[in-house]
Amino acid sequence: MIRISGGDAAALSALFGRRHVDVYRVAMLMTGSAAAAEDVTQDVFLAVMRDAARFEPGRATVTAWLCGIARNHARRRLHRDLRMVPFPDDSEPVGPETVAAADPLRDLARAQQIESLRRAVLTLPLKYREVVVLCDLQDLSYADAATALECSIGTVRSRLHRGRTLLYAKLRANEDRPAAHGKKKIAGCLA
Amino acid sequence: MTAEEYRQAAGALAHQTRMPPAAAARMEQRLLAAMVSAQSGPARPVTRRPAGQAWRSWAVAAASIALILAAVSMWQRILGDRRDAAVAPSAPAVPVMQAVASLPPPAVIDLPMSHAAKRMRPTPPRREDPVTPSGFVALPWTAGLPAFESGEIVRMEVPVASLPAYGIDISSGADRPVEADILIGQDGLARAIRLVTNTVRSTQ
Repeated sequence: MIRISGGDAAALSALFGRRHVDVYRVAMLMTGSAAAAEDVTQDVFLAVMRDAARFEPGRATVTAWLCGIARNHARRRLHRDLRMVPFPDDSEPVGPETVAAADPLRDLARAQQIESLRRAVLTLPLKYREVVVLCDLQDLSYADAATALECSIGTVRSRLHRGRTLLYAKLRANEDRPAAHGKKKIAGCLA
Repeated sequence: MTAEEYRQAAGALAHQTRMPPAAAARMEQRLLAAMVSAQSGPARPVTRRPAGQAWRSWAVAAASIALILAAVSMWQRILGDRRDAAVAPSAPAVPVMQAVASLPPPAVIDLPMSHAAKRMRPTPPRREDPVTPSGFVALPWTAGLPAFESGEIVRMEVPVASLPAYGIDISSGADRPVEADILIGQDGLARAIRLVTNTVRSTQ
């Protein structure tokens, strides 16, 4: 960080190579859009270039600091996009294609689980979504998540608990929906 | 989905969520170019916001709001004092005629200069009054109104022909308007009327 604040391009390149995955993941899982996630990632590293001197090593880890900046930019982006009608996202769908095809049926079921989890995370209220993303998907510790979210560890714990509860409920509802739909179809055929 | 399945799905989702390598490479190039161009431009010092700055701005905002509220309440109090000077103090319900005795003369009422106010302003004294002056007479239809508590006296010109309807006798042949004090209650409804005599005028 010291080298970046001094204008060292190699240091920035090294940091980007190691951490852009984390930043992109937080942005992508919070916004749900690849284009927005790329914009947020770029904004985060531009902010790092500008404000690297503000990083305090004793207060947070680099990942937590970057995730905090990503979270702030993602929130800003979400607020900005509230009034806009989104174009269809032409990014590659995350799903069955990326899963190894050793046991096709099992892999398909797993891919469906992951996709429904991704959708459920995106439908969570923002304050629960960000804590689920940071703690469960980004694997930050409670302390790091609290630093990134600028709140207390207790708040992180309670929001995570509430967020997981909401998430399980949504996932259960998604599991039940296809079954109910199938029953209707069968009833329609028998009538 | 069980907790274990959730943990596995979350791990897989996190693993899958990656920026395409080509996009990452392009972004890195853009960032490095931006850093180089920033270095060639004038150096800008990093400004760190002091810890108490946010609190200070909130404190200033709160103080401004408090000052505005204090000014408004003071202004309302001053207006209330002025109104109290012109209006009888709020008291338990008393008969109209007793309350009227405590009211100040109408000259102290400071009405705005509107058309309505101009109509209510005292007119110059006249030599003859076509009607017999009297004290306040309760208006006939005030029996069902709430008890008089406080109010104002408004002076205005009243057609003589309408005075019998208020319970006032008039001398025959009078056809011009006369001045009268109308007692307005706390609800804005007229309670009593008093014809203005030369004596009343001279005391004001």
